[in-house]
Amino acid sequence: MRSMKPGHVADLLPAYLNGTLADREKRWVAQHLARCAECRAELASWEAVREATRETSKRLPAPPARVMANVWSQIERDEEETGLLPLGSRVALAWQLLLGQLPLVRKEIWIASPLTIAVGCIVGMMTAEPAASGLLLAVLAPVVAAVGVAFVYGPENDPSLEVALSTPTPPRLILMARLTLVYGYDLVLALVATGLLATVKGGLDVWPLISLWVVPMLFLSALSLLLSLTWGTTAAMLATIALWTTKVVYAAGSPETFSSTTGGLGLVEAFWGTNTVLLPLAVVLITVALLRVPSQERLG
Amino acid sequence: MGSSRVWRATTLSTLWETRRLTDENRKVVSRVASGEKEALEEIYANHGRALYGYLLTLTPDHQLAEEILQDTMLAVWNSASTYGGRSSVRGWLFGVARRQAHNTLRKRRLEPYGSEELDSVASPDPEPAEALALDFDREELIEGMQRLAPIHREVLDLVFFHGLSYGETADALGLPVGTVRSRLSNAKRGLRSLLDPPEEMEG
Repeated sequence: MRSMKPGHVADLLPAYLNGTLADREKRWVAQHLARCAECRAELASWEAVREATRETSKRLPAPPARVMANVWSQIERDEEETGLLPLGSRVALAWQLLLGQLPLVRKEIWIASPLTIAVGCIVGMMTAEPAASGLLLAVLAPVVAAVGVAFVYGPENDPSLEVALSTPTPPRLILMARLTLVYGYDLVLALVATGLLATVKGGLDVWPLISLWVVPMLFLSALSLLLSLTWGTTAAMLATIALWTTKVVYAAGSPETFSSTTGGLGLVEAFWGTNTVLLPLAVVLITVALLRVPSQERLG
Repeated sequence: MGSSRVWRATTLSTLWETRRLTDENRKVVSRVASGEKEALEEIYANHGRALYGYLLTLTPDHQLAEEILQDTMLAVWNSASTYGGRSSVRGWLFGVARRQAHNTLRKRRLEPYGSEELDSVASPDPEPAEALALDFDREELIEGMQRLAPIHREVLDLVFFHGLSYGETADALGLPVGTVRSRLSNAKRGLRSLLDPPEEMEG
């Protein structure tokens, strides 16, 4: 039996009374109280203090109804001044915006993307032919990013979108923040997977491997973004997957894909021999997508 | 020995409880952080009255309490993204309100507490031997409560009216948990001495 000086439960009595002790301490205090008249007296005095506190606080009036109306008009006045912020604050704001959007992005994306990329990476590691080892990764990475981006925005992904549209954060900024998060995440994943693959396969250069997927990934994501804004997530997903599948099947059908002796760069040509067209096209698509979303807050 | 074990267990349990509350409420704060107006309204609907009551324990001026309440909601709107989820939402909200109150009262040269030394008056580990037999009637106690120093009234209000745990109260007041404990017993002692001035000592 440990010795229990009465003084030691005295400090726990307020928490005991307001029910915020854990079960173990609650039992401990109850046991002690059963044995200690001094602490029971102390408890009684705390009960009196509690009743007096509650009664006093209960008598305090409720706040006037106008409080939130005043808060909103003050917030609007503040918003009008934020256009003149220095660069440092803008960077800080952008960072806060990214962090703020983080919990609002569909959680499935954070799990499904690495799993898919991992499949491409592992299959690649097990492929004997060095030139073909990056193929599956190159096929999967753009689709993963495009599908993720399709979920970035739109009513079916964001139950609070209607409300979000009436917030002081411009919808365009919200879109850019989420796009950055999702696309950036998938880009990093694909880069890591490619690095791993190149390391494991030893003889492979990283850059030809990256160039297999990097531009198609951007293009497909840009397309997915625009389509999801126009026709919704499902349509964007189906359309980009269909387009990419067609392209892959077509590339796989042409004999030079597998007989290529020039390694990765030859494969890029076989997959999508038009990177110089795709890159500017992707930029145009993203620009159009961003222009479709209002840059200013929509009040009400 | 026994006591230190209990103290540690209590700290763990308040940590655990803070975690639980945090999970329930973190979402609404991150919605505010992303600029969702409805989330701020939600916070106000759930906590506005409590915050106002708390502010009235710091200043008797209703007009001023209303202004500070507005400042608090503004600060919540502007700094929701800095809420790290370390403390419960309630603890965080009361903390924001307390800082706003301090800033405003200091600016207006109104000292909210004036007597930080009230903390150091009592021993940190009071013996029940000096238990305060509060044999006063209800109205006497309430009257005393209204005259109690804000620093004491505040901690009693947070624990007994708003039902905050020691951990949450510590978050709200920006104090270590141990100070919350001792401040509570100081508050009770303060109330007693208000109602029952030690006349014999002076006489």
